Amino acid sequence: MIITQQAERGGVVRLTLSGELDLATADRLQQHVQRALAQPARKLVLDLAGVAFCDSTGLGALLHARNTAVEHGTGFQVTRPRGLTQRVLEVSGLLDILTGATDP
Amino acid sequence: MGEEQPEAIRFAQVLGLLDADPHGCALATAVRAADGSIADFRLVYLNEAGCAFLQRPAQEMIGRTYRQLWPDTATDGTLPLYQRVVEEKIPAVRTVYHDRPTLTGHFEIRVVPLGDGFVARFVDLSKLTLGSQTEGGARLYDALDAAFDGFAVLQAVRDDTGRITDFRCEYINQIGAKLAGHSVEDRIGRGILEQPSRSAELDLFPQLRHVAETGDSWHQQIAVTGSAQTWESKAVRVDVDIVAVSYRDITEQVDRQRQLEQSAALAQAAVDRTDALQAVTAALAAASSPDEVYLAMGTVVRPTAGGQGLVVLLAEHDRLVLGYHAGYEDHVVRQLRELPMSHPYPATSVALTGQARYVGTPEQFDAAQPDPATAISRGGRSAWAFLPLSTAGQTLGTLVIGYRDAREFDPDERANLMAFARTAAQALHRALLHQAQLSIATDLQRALLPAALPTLDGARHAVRYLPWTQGADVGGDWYDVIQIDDARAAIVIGDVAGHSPRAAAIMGQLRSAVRAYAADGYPPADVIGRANQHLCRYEPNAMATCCYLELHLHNGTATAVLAGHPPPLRYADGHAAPLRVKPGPPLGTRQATYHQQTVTLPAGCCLLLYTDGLIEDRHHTIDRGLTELCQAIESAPTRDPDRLLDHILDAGVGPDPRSDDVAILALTLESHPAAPTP
Repeated sequence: MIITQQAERGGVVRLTLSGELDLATADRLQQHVQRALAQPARKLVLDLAGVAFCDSTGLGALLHARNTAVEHGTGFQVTRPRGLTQRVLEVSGLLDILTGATDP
Repeated sequence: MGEEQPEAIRFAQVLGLLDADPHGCALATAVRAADGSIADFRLVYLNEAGCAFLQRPAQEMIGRTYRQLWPDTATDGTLPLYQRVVEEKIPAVRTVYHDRPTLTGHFEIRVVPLGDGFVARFVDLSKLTLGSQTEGGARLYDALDAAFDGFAVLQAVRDDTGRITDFRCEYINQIGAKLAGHSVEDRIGRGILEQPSRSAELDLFPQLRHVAETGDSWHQQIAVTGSAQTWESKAVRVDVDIVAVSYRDITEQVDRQRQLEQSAALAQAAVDRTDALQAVTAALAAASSPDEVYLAMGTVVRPTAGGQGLVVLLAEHDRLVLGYHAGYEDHVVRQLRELPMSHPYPATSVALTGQARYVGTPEQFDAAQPDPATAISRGGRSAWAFLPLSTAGQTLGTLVIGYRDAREFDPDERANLMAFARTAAQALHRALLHQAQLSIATDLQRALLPAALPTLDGARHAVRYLPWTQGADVGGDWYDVIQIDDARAAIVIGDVAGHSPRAAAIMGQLRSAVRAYAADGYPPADVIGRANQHLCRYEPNAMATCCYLELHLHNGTATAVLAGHPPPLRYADGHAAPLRVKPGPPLGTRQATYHQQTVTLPAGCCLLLYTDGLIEDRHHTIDRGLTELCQAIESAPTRDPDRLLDHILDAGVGPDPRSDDVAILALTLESHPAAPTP
């Protein structure tokens, strides 16, 4: 899985993920999130448009990312889940809670 | 006198010629017996060269007979030859060898009939030279005598039908004669088959005949019958009916070759031992349970390796306990079941000190255990290696390898055995540890899942749990049936993320929490909400999914809450479909809210709760799995919960092969629900 980071207007840090989010790659997401949150940011956005596959470990990683951001006092939002990823988020009841923005 | 005179004059002239001859010359006349046959020959003349040759004065010899002068000639074929020459009036040539104080050398004797007798001329062959005379080359025969090989020139002897029946030895050198166990003198002029000896030439005769007849050369090693010798021999036809044979004794070289081969065999055995050790090491590395370790160790004990039995004794505080045995008799096994560390059997001191002990003979074994009443018996063994099973500074016990025959444990073998024992100890240690973890995990899981589910009034249920992983990688799936009160029951299914004892422990906590909140009478959404708070507080990084259904069997409804879990299926009126319940997030999500939804349960309907391992994995989408599951329920011949579950599991629902644990719970309502109690 490839993760790229961009700074955007208004203090937003966008992490764009592409590939598979699962047991093999979940740790890397967490490392990236920690690094992204090391610099001051108002909101962390995870763009999942390129995520072709996400299993329960991937879901756990997304949740963990959300929890970390919340602890940091940073806003958090997951955007553009597609296809299978979206379906998995639906079935797990995480779609609303992850894609709905949390306030910083 | 007058008649004899011409004879005498002729005779004198001949004598004059003979006097001047550099070669020895003798004249002899026949001595006839009464019947006219030749009995002897009288030497009547010997020239100067002849006298010098024979190293005796003429007066001593002239006038005496051959039998008197040289008694051997009567038996060595000389006299018969001369007889033939005189009687048949044909000349002959003969080669002789003499090795006597008076006469030494090879001679060619040319015999020519003269009167009633013969003239014999001796040609000293040793005066023939090899190489140019001006260069002073070695004498041919000296050269041949100096050779390493035996050398002989043989003349074929044919019978009346022309068949070769023997070979006469025309020449043989010193070594050749010696090899044949004779003196040169004995051999020259004799047929090789004449002597009744067990000589190698008897073995050679058929080959020599073949060479003489065909002209083929022959070169071979032969083992000499009746002796431990091996000869290498070569025979070549040098002229019609003349075969030259060279031969050498190669017994020493053959022995040396055999020794080399033995050393090579020993070296190969050492290599094989190393290879065998490597193979066993690989098998040990792959072993994951103590039984697999013992199996791999057992391969070392093969009859070809000289091993006959193997015993593993494990150390426990103050005693050794039998862990494994192979190839040991029952009565010895019984003795070895448990030994105090104070017992003299060598295995105990090995376990205590970590030092190997090698017992090479039955006597040594008996000497180590002086008290016959308590001594461990030898069984069928005569030698033992007691090896410590030590790893990471700890001695697990003793490995005993027993051998059928007494044995010297040389340094090489000891090193091999210790290497083996070390590897076996590591493997065993790892396997024992794994086994301990395994049993803890299994015990844990077994304790955490309900042993028996309560029966519900108005519905039957059945459950299946199919773990995907084994041993310590226990999963976190759980299921439960809770009788809340007279009117309410709950069925639950859940899945803690991960496969580890920790996941199993978390599962246990969640199950208890859900039961507790349910028993407290909380509505389903609150039961799940509180369970979630519980998990978030006590296990911050844990995540679990859960499906909770509160059943109101008397009025045919159920209230469902989903926490990140796939929806239950309901089968009614011939149609199976997921319950349309909006899922809340998984347990472990902070600040989550849960909603509950009530659904109807027609009489006789089926509910199926399951974990996602049943319907989906990386390659099998959840929607596809759900469709397959609905089809499986619809095609089931019965809604009896147990048989329904069997049918579903056989119907090829979901991923094949499975890649996760599967838990399924089926509940079938009675066709005619009981009336609610007032």
